[in-house]
Amino acid sequence: MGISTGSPTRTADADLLTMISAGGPFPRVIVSPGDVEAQFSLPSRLFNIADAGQLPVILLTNLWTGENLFTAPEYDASELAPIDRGPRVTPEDALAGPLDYARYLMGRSAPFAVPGTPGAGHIVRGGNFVVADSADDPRGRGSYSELPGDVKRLTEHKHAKLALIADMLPKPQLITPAGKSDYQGVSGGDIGLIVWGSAVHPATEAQAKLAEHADVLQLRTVYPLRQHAEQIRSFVRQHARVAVVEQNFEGQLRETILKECYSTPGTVVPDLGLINRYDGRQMTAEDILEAL
Amino acid sequence: MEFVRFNGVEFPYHPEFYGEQSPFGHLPLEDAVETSFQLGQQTFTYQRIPEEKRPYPNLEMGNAANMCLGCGHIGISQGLADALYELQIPPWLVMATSGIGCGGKWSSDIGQMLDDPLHRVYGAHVTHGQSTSSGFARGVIQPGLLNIMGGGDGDIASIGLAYLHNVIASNVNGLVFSMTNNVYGLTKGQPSRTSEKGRKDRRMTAALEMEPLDLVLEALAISGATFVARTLSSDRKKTRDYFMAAILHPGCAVLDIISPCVTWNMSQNAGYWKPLLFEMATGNYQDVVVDLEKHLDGKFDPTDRATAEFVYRRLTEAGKKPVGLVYYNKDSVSFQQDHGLRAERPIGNLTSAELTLSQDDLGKM
Repeated sequence: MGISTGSPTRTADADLLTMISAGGPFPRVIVSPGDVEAQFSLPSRLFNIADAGQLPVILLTNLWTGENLFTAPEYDASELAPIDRGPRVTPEDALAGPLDYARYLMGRSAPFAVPGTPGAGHIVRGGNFVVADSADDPRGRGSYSELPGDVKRLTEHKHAKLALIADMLPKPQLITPAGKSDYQGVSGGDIGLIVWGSAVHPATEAQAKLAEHADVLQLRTVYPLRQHAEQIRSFVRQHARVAVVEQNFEGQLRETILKECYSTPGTVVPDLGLINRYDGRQMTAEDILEAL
Repeated sequence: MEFVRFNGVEFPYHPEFYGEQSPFGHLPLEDAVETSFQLGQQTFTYQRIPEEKRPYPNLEMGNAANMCLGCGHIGISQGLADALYELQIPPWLVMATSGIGCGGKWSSDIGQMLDDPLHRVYGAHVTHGQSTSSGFARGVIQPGLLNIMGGGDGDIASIGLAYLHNVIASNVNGLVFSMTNNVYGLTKGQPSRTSEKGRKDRRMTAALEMEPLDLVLEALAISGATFVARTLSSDRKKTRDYFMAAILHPGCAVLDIISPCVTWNMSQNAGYWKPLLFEMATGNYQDVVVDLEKHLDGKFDPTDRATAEFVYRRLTEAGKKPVGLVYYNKDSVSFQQDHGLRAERPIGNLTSAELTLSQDDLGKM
């Protein structure tokens, strides 16, 4: 939930680029469940990612998914990930012995003390204001610094956090005519459709109607994509025609795929098609079939 | 679980944290003496712990603060530190939330300059204008903590004005203070929303044509406001008393503190303000607005809202800068009290088992 953008009271998946750059250059994870089952089961995992990496995780949904009736299997609590709050300092820790509390340790997520924990007071700062275990503050308590060296190290520290949680990010899902699975890097056929958001529904419907063999690759983590780049490139290689199917004008996911998976010098940029709809209405299977 | 109401905060009393054997210092509630002080005609009462028995030091930041010499913000931070010292609220129960600018630095500085890490407060230096919205959330999630929100006038009266309205209307327990210097200092002297009409200095191509925003009137206009006051930063003792009253007040207290900027708004220094100030409780109305004297029957009553607003406006029209306790609701009930919010322990320390949904829970939902 969050900001509403686009045509009022109409639907789209058009906030990806906004969310990638919103608020300044800090690392973030953006996830789009696409269907109601995932909307139930994913958030518990996303909370764990946010706590493990101590970074914001953004959940992108759209109006069409939120306002429509769907038939879904009964929700199963065992699909929910057990909540793991990540490294914490509790009042019990504070009592166990003298607490030389360090909120900020470079290169990893330092334990977090909730306000109200005796002896662990500290500063939380947003934006580019800097806390660093600099020479003045070797114990990482978080002192104020705008020195160039501190700013540089903190920026690197913030961006290094993505590596801590790369394995936890929801993986691309392969949907073949036979069923759904985590993508293992092997598939092949005439047509490959890469989808995100609620475009997954018309894409699977079109898949069933097509005479040719078509595979759908549903991206749930839509940013960053580097950790899944090899899989995405492999999917593109193994299909004769590949298009990104999405509900915005610019082709925001296509742009992100090209930037994140094909920007290394020497990489051959593929002929990646775009099938899009941007009139405020949910895409249909007919839109896809016609475009193909 | 035993909850203690002590000097404006209500927190679970763990003997390990506050008792005689506590490694964090013994908070001797039994030695506290009920003590009163006055703001105008209003009396405020608190539990005073004698100085020699106080476990927590003064969090004053002293010369280490990264401010211009003579900046009014230093006096305000010192007044706040003095108030916390006098009230002896455990530092780990203090949440300090500030926005961006010169007026945003206090949350990073207060208590952080001490060598002893036991006595650090929980500060948050949040994004511009969001000290009130973030502070509101922190206050609701952590109802047992003292919630202090503050920033410059750019932060509180301009970019964060909409959030100020919400936090006042909700009457969340805590205080909002604005270090009002009528200028954007950190960005080098542009006029702010509180700058007076007609200001023209060498950096401006034309005189300012907009009427200034008055933070006191703004707060008064919001239904739900329960404590609105203004003071001048140069009187440290008085600043301390206003902070103490605001902390003791159950609900959201708004303090507009005039803070002369010695670098970018030098003409409006303490000497400029002093002749303009009008103490609402003790001032001589006869000299300023003749008909007010009759109306007030010799005494200004800050507990009557309509009178407060009327008198305040007439004083402003007469060219005065009213200071003092402008409006005060004695029967204020805070958001936390109203909703029965108390926490035995911080919500952030709930365990995995407590947070994970079972099939049974799901069925009930």
